[in-house]
Amino acid sequence: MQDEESLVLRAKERDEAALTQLYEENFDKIYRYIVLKIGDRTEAEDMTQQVFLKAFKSISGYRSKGSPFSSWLFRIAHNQVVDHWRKKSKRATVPLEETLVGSSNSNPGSDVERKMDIENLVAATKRLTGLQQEVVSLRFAGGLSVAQVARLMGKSEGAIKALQHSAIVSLRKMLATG
Amino acid sequence: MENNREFANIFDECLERILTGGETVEECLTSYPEHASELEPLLQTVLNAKQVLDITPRLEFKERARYQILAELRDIEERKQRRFSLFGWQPRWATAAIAILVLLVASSSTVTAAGNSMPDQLLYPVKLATEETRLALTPSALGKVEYYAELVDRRVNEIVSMANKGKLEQVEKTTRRMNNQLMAMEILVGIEEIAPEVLTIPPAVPEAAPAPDELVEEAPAVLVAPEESKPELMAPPPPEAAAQLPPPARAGEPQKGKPEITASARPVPEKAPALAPAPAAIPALVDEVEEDREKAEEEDEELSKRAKLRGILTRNAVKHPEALQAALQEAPEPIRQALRNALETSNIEYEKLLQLLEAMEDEAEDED
Repeated sequence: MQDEESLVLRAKERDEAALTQLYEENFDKIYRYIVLKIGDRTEAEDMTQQVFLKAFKSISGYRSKGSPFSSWLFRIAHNQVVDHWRKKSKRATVPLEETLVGSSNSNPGSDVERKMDIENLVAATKRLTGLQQEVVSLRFAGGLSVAQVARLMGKSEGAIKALQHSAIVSLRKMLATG
Repeated sequence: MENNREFANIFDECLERILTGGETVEECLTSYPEHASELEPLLQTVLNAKQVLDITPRLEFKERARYQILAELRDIEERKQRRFSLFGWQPRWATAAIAILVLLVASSSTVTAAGNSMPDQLLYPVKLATEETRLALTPSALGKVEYYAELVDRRVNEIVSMANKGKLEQVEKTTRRMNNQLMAMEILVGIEEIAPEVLTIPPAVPEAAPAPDELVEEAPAVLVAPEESKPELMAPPPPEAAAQLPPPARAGEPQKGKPEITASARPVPEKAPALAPAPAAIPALVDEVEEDREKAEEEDEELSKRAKLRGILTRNAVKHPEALQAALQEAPEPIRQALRNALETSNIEYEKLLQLLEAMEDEAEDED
């Protein structure tokens, strides 16, 4: 945490090496979180870029308050996702199967297989409650610990563990039945 | 309930041991044999989900995005510093001197040549500096918006030109500039929306002149609310002055020659002349009428400028996406995404701008 604090301090001074490090350490996690939330890998790339642009533009106003820098990024990503769905609801919706076309992959066979799996996972996650979705996205796509998720969502660790459990039970049922 | 909580804790402990401690599912299950049958499928579900989610963004995208973000941050810093060093701390005379100097230099062949330069050419920074100077010297918001529209037009041409040459970095930078300029227009138009009486957009069709009763409300204070102590203010105009006055308008009937006249043009209400005549006030009223006429002319001029601006924006909202779309079809693969971004920016920003203008128009109509 000490290291991250000094990294963030340098980033606040627009130190490009520090900004790059923060970017490299967090980009994939934020990207996965957004993919699981919206189901579109190409759009998730653009949205992840926007998250970092917003974060770095306003990094001077960031206060750690004991949470890792990634918590702040997840918060921005969450808002970005909410905004995405709000805009999407105003436009014509695209079927999930169409939006899930992924990006380039060296092995076309495994791409199809993986695409189907992501498709199922995203569809099943969408059927969870809002809180369960958030816990699953932050824990398993974002890679946060229970304590970090609890802090970010303003809940107790016990509540997050309970949500995690109920979410996985529901996911399992949904994935098993398709 | 208690059992559930206990199981949720065990489940999380196993997850931590597997995900971060590197244990296997079997190892964890041996610690909780009584829950093994329930734990195993749930742990397996999480492991499957983790495996499915082991995805990464395209490497080339990630690198390009990083480059763009850092470049934009640099741009912002540079703009801040330039603003501070050029116009921030210096006294007004220095700003004026710089402006005059640039204007003088503007006639030189260098600046003339720079006017046609492209982002990959040496003189391009001179072109940008000249544009910024002209913007700084444009006093009215309307004039600035009009000039921004011209600048966005240039940016689109530059993007197309750079895309044809396959210069990705220049396409991206110019797209950012275009985006900033479109947003600056939006802000200026937004300011107009806040103060429609200052800068309203005229309706396309000439509006009906307001009824005399409505005009009384808007008439200058000296022409209404007669006071016994100041009867001279209510004097009727002499025949020659009256000839200069706009004829009283009737509701639903546009005024000839001045189809867009507004209430602020202050025609004289019909009721006023009937009250307390006083010859001493005649010169004052003539001045008033003259001022009103000048003001009405200025407003007419302003309205025609606004109509022109709306025309330009409406045309550009079609022309620019078309030009970018055409370039996209011809562009080599590495440039395509950048062009799509430019196209999207152009579409979104013009949509917003036209919506803003439309909202203002509605507002102006409602007020009338």
